[in-house]
Amino acid sequence: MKVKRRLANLRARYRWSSRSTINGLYRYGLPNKWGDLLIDHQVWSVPGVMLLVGVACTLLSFFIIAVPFTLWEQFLFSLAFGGLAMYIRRYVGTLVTLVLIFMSLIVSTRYIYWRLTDTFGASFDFDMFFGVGLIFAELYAWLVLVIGFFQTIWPLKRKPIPMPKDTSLWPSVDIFIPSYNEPLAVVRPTVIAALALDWPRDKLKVYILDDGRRDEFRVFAESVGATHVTRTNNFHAKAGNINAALPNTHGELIAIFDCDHIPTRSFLQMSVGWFLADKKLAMVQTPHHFLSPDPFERNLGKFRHMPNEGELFYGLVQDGNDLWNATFFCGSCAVIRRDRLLEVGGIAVETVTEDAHTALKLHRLGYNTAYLGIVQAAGLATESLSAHVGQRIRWARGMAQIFRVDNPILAKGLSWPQRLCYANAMMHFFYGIPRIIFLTAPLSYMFFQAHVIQASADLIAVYALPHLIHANVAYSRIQGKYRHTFWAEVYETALAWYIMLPTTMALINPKLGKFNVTAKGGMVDREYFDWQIAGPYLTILGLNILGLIFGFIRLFWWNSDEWGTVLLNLLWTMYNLMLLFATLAVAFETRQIRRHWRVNLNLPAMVRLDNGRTMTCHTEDFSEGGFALRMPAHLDVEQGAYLHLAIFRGDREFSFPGIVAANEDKVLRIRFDDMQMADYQMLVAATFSRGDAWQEWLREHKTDHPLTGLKEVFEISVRGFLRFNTLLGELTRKYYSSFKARRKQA
Amino acid sequence: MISKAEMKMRLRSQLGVAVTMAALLCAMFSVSAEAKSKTHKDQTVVQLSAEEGVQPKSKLRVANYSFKQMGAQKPIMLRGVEGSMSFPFSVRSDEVVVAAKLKLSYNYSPSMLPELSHLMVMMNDEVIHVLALPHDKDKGDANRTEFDIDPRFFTDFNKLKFKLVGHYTYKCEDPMHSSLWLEFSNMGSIELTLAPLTLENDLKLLPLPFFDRRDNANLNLPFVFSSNPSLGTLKAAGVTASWFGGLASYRGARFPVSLDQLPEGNAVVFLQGDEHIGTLSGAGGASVSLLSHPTVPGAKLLLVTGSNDEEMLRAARAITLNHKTLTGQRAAISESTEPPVRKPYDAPSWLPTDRAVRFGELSNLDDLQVHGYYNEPIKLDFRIPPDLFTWRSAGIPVDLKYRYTNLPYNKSSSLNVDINNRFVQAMALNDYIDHDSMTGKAAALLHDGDEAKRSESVLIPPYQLNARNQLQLNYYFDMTKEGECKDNYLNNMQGSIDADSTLDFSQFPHYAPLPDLAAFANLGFPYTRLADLSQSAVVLPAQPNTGEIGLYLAVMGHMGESTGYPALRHRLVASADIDQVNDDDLIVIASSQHQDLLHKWADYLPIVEQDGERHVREPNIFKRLYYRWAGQDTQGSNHPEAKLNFKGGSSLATIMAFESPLHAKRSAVVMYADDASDLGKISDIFYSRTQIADMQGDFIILDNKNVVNARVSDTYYVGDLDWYTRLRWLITAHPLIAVLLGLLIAILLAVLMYRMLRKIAAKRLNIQH
Repeated sequence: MKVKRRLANLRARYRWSSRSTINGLYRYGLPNKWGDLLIDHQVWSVPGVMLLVGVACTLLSFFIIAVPFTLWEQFLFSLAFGGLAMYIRRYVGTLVTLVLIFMSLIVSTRYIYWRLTDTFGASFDFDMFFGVGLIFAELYAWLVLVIGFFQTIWPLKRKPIPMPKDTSLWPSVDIFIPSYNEPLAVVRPTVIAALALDWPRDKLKVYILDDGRRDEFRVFAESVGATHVTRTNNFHAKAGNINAALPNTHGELIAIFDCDHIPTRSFLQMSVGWFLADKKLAMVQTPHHFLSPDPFERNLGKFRHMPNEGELFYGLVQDGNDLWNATFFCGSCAVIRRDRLLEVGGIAVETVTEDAHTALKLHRLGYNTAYLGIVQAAGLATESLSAHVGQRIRWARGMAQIFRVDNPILAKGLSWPQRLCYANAMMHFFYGIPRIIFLTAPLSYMFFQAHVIQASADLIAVYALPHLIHANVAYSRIQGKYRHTFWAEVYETALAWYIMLPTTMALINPKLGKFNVTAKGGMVDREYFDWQIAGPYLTILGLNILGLIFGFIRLFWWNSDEWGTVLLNLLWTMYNLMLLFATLAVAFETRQIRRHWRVNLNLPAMVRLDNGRTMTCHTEDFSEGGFALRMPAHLDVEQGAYLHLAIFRGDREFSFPGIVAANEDKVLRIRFDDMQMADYQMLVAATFSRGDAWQEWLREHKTDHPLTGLKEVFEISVRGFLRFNTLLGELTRKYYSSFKARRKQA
Repeated sequence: MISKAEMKMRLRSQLGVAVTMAALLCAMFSVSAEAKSKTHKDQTVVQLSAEEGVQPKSKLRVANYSFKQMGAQKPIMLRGVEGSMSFPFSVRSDEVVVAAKLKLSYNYSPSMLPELSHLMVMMNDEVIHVLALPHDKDKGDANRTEFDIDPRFFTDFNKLKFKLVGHYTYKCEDPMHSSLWLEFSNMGSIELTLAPLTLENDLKLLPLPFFDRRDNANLNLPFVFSSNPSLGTLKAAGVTASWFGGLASYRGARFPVSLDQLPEGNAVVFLQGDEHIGTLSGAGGASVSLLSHPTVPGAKLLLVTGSNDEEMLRAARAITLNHKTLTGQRAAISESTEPPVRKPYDAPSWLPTDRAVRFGELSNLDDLQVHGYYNEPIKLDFRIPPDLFTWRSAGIPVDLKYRYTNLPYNKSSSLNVDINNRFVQAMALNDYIDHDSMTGKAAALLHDGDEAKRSESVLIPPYQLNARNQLQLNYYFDMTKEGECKDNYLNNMQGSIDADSTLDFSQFPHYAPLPDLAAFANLGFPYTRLADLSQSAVVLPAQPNTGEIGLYLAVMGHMGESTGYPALRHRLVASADIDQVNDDDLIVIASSQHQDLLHKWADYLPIVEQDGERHVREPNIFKRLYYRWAGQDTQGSNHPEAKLNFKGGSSLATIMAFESPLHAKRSAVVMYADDASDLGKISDIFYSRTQIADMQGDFIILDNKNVVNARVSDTYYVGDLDWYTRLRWLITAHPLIAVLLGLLIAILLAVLMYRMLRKIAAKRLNIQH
């Protein structure tokens, strides 16, 4: 006890003496003060100084990058440089982030330079064959790292501009809700929420663009006051659908929602303001938010605990793009100016990612786009892994197509930052081949004793490790809120194989491959292992396990003379195995039985029983089917009893009839019974379409720490390993028993 | 089975060979007869002149040259049917051979047939002796034999050749059979009895009789001064010594000093104004005379005179630069123009480093080609400035063009390139293309007859280079065995290196860390950067003693040997006048009698004197750690032996190098001995050259046998690097600089980026506001 207290005292004293204040994860201290002084120092206002210093620093950095070191010198250098990075990363602030980025750039570029100049054998032989593959993959990774830094270096954090008091100045808006084969139940809340948008009634029109040409939809549209639009063909899928509706509609602005993206009522008021401020603005994009877990989150049980793939994109990448005026259109939850859209010929139809391509065309004409990082709509994520993979294949393929058809690097009219942002968005999807190379590179040594890097193991370690550490520290700093270290590797690994072929094919010929629709709102009704998806990974996994065995044999018997190299390859193989088992864990599809997704929501509510008794309470979560309430005290009411639920939003009260579905201790579950359209509209207004519905979405995540990320991935990987073992055991038993049964029969 | 026709054919061909052999023999005989008559004529000339001054028998000198001295580092092995080996040697022009004896110790293969096998000994291509190789000798022991050689066979430059004619069977044989060998010891020798010849007193003979390039022995040439020579006189002597040093070259030169007294034998005498030794006088202005020694018959004196320092120097300069124009017994040097000041690194014996150098400049054409299966490597000697900065260079480019006999069956032939006996690269010589199968011009272009001409770029690793280097090119010709009786030994294999091949050091800047006594010992660097030493000064005590003068002359000889050019422009000052030369590279020679300067420089020296005991100054702990880190810690910087030696205290002889206290980037080398006679130990280093390899670091202590070196002083750098290389180098040398520089760059770029991004962001958010 005494020791503990003394430690606490020490800690307190240390904190006091360092004169730093803890600011969230990071401290605010002297380095920050110096940084502020440096940033606003008057020397920078002398003309030419910034240019001079910039050029000098860039030239000088080349020395650091190219200077040759021996093993110990490089070790010392890395240790000191890494130590400095570790020290300053404790401090808060964008400047510190930028310093970490540049340190990472220096170290990583130094690594790549060393790889290119010092680690190649003179002759082209067997080793070289693998070596070239690896250096290609590493160059790719380095390029994505560098452009990635550039893209996310300064998220713009745009705020909405309030609309003017005079509503006559407000533009007219058409809401497009394209649908093809989704059930009405999916589309209904979206349409109702769209109709409930806070906007002058005469300036708002809602169109259901029904490519399924379904009567059910027409009837529903008429009943709620939306317009049902159809066309005679289904050319170009969603893009064609929207383009076909353009001549028949007339709003100045067009807001597009996927049929399952339910907008909040404030959507237009938030997003349209910028159109009035910036005449060259062509599009405003808001984030896509998902009520349901994507297959990764569901199958790994990580929903709401950590950010998913999309959050990096909408939380950081799009916001970063916004600085460079390179925000992409994402197909939904966006507002576009009609005249600008018509100018580029409507939504692009040449590629399967029509949205990004349309934005590219707008940018090429010199128009602006903007990103508003406030969630103003929510929808459902893809429900199964195969569907998820299918969707990513489509994106990857589309991006590769744009790369070929309308290459942003060469396209006219773009600024260089825009080119880089687009290039990175596209290059990001080429990770298939490099990832597979990383997953198999150590095997070339394990099996064939090929030295893919012509350097001793310790030298590789002192060059490569600092590169990885600096890059991860810098990335964790920028992206920590939106992505956890090492998880991206799991995502990439799971998708690499599937993305590899379509992207490569599309690069060769943009027309190869075909469009597939992402199915949504379905259910995974049983738990199963997706053999088809996991197939390629099982092969690679098998090879890696074999490689591991070979590695141990090499370590102790065959190659004990170069144990360093073997050890390095062994560690690499183990890391790969960790990723692969984590991928397997994703392939175990868990059941998804709910029809409607429960969304956490804390609102004041009141329950009125039939006998007139009332009790104030708070809502805990809701879905389209009902509410869960947290009661202050146990309410003695039977299952199946009728009651009325009142929810308050500001001074407005929404009241619904409901049935008690369950009553456990202080949690009361209410199911809606036979909802009328008016009630339903009310429900949507009270829940999905509340302006502040999704404000809290980011705060639920734990912030990243690289080593925690590693630990998490490791745990998942162990789970994948165990579950896969169980599955194999079951299969063997099953096979064995059927074999026995057959023998009995015989 | 061999058919009859074939038998006939073979017989005929053997007959043919016999006939050709006979014809050849005849031809040879006639040639040698001619040669003999010619040598006779030469010999008579020599003898005529010899008769004039043939000395009494007691003056005869016996010289013994072992084969080892003639260049055979290992016992000599003769192989094959006609293995041969030859040794060049020469006879001084002021001596004549009156008797000669060859001493051989040899052993040979017992498998050789005594009826057919014998060893021929030839002098200047004439057979002087034939040794039978009988069976009945005791095979275990080496055979020893001695025989006299007729002195008439000798000329100035001679070639002694051994040729083994060996056969092991009467039937058809393999000419390269392993049992065909004869080995004789390299300790065998030729013993010459030499009689002195008196040469006439004519300056046109210079550098004869003081130096004779025919003589491979060390040059030992006494320099004579009056009892108290002026510094100007000494400087004239220094210039002359550097010239003789350059002439002596690899032989080494020693210049014993005698004051006021003529030594027994040849000597150079410097007298100024009214100084005189015996009958010799310095009067008569600037002049050079060649005189007979007044007391020793046959010995000569070179008298250099002048009425002042300037005239002395003028006379010395005339000897070194214009000796070919001097004639007669005495030449007055009325006026001589000074040669232009040398440019840096242009010493005649150094390889030019400002351009690619043709092999033709380094060697004559005859030495660039080889003949036969067993051939000696082609050797190219070159010296390079010790301050070439070859850091991170892939190598020194050698553009090699070569030709060789290219026959279809010599598939494993190769040309190997070595530098300083270390292997660099080998080129396979097996690109034979069958001409019958090739048509058109391509074949003709590729091959000029059966002689292929090829070129190859070779990179010599910089770390294998020293100041003095030898590039060795070895032709190895494959001998293919075709089977019994089919091999005909046709010694037609030839290889040559084109004189247009080049060696290129021009890409390397001059930049080197000093002090470095190795560079000083090897090529007199940094003083020899200018071949005439025009930016160097030697500091002597005001009244130097013989030890100090001797070392000064030895150092000058070393400089001349290093550059191949006399040290015409060095300055020689007394230690009191050192301020006159404060921007020069300094060489300080002192002994305990004259060490005022050492007291003045006590803080710079690597020796500290405390309580009467001397210690090596220890580098501070940071430097020691740094030296260890940088691998410069030669033998440990505080050497215990060195300490012991100090305590003994009486006879310290040391060389210390450090940055000149008078001028940054200038060097100072101090040579000091407690006892002036111990300065001779230092002279011996330059003279014998055997201890040169021990000259390292910046601090050397000599005791009677050993050279102890250490690294004590601060490093400084001379030369110029472009800022780019310099920075790269600096960062490599100090990784922590890289860390700090990297952090600085990251911070500055971050600040710039911050300001830029903040501006861009504000612009993006303030549209129309």
